[in-house]
Amino acid sequence: MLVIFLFSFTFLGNPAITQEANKNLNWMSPGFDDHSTNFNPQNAFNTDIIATLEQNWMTTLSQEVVMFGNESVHSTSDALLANGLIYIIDRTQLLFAIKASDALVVWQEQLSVSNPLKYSVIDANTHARYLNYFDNTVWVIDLDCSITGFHAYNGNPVVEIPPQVLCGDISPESKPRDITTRIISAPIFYEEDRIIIASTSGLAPEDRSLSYVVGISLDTQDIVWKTSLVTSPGEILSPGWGQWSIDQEEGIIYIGTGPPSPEWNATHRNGENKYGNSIIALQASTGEIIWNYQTNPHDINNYGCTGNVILGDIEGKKTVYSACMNGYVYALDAETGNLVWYFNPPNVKRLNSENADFVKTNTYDPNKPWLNYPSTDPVVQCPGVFGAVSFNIAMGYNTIYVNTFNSCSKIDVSPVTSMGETGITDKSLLYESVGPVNSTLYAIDAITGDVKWSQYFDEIAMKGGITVSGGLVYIPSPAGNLHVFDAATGLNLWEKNFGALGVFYPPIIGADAYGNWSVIQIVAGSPLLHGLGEYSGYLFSFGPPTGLIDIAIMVTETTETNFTMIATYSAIAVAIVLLVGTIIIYVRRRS
Amino acid sequence: MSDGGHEMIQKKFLIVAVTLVALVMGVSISVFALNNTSSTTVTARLPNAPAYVCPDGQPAAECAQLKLTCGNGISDPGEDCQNCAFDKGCPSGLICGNISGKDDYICHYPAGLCLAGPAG
Repeated sequence: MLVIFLFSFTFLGNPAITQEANKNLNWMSPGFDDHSTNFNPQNAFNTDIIATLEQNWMTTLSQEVVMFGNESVHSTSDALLANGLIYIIDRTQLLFAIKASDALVVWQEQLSVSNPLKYSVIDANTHARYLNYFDNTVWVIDLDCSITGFHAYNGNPVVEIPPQVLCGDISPESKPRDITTRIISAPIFYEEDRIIIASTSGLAPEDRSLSYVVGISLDTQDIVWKTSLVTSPGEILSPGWGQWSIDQEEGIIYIGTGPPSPEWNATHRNGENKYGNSIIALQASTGEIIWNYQTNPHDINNYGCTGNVILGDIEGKKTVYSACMNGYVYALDAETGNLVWYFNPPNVKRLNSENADFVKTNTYDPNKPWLNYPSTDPVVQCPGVFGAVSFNIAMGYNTIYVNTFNSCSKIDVSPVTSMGETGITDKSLLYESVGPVNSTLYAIDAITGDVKWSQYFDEIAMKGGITVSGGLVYIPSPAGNLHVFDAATGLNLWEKNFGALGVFYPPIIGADAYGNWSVIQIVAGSPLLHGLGEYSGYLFSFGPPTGLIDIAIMVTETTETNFTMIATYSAIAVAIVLLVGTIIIYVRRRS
Repeated sequence: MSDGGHEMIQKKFLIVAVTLVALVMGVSISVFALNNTSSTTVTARLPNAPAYVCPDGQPAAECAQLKLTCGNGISDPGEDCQNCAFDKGCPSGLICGNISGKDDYICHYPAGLCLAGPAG
């Protein structure tokens, strides 16, 4: 007892450093928070500071020599920043924890490598992938369908969920489905019931449907629920890659879904294909579908709602926002799924994509087999196969920010015999743009759907995401630029060119372990999506000059502690114990 | 004076003596501790560093010390790349390992990389 007393007394005299609870220091989810806003509400790093930005460091994202079976080089993941550590998967399938202050590696873990004995998409192109952070753990859906949680501090696997849980038993001989864009999502988490919610996005094989969403117990790693996204046995569609939103208070998740397949030949899938191209609300604890809003019935253009789904709160009214690949932005009542408003970007060119206009026309052709049926000649579709919005949108300052682009595609529809096919003769042609290429960034009033301002970019298709923070909008460009605009006015305040390797992921903003604000930018993270080939990737850190702005948090304790204090406290404790004992004896004698 | 009176005086004397001994001991040890300034000083942990988590099987004393020191950005005694990667992390390209067979973990090049290097 005395030893415990003395030990605790020692630490009472030397309290742990108290940190100001400031979640803005960290960027812990692909979309910053559970609501997938891509908006960090910090304001220290702002419009006054941006012009002074200096490079802190740069490090490579192909940090291991390609050997020992890790020959497949993929796109990097997005980056997360938590408690001064950056987490990222590099292009050789290594998951890293890197100090945000100086890029030193704290730990690294090799993710899955090629293995002929099990199914995986490791040897297929991967265009992007996500990480997530929950419960002091970094979460990865690996390319073999396994889900692993790595301890954020030391990299030890804390939870390992085998591939069969997410993807079922797939034959090792199965081949990954040949799709135009393969993006692997990260799980999200329902805190109250400790459920992992995972998407099979990008993992499907040719011969099997993975058209469902799964809820998995964090504690037992068993499936709690599995919700099918198809209504007939032969139907196939891919869930979106998100990041999806979760309302922790109400226990509701909001997801997006991809197009049904075969994408361009619907000969064998007449009808609306109910849950395809949809925004769906589900009960987080049971997986029960609460409502479904289908944006694009009977899609024959490959326009999914695969990007992020934002849960916004405007004047006390919860609203769900998502931009689908057809270029429309949808605002839905979070409670009912009813349409609040939609936005049809005026600069987006539309051709041979009539069903995509359903929100405007309220009509669609449920039986049209392909775009120019009955002709079998090649045909151009606009938006093209990457859509008019291909990645994430952002919400901040009651404004929705969306990047739209024109990049039409020539489609040569082929006959199909199975649902796993795409219905395209030569998929490689899809990556070539037909006609003018340009982009427009829109800032839209989140309440009304009206345009506040826009920015036009000629000759490039802005396929990357958006970050909003400190009154600024950050836009990565395939031309290698990071553009920064005033979030309120659209004025171009800063621009950084990273060369010809392209920038896809938008930056993340947070603080290093010292509390210094940093902008973390991945360069050439997804070269395949930009058609740039097998180049290396890089990670950059930027910050304002030292002393220009206050660090994010202050140390609330003296910076030095002397071990001799422990002995001092112990001596005082002994004296007090003896004194107390003496007093007790004295009082007893007196009484 | 009665026996009871003697006994009371003896007890009071005993209590006073014990109190004096306690005070003298406490003051002496405190003076000794305060004068003993040769022990290590440690810098406080960085304000936004991750909390140290003691792995299973780590000795309690090491755990207690690393909770105080690991995450201050400085290499303190007892820290290595294995037990405190935040302060003793390896630069890019190096890995943390125990190549001596003892308890010391250091950053080194991967063995395979050395074997495949230009020097053979």
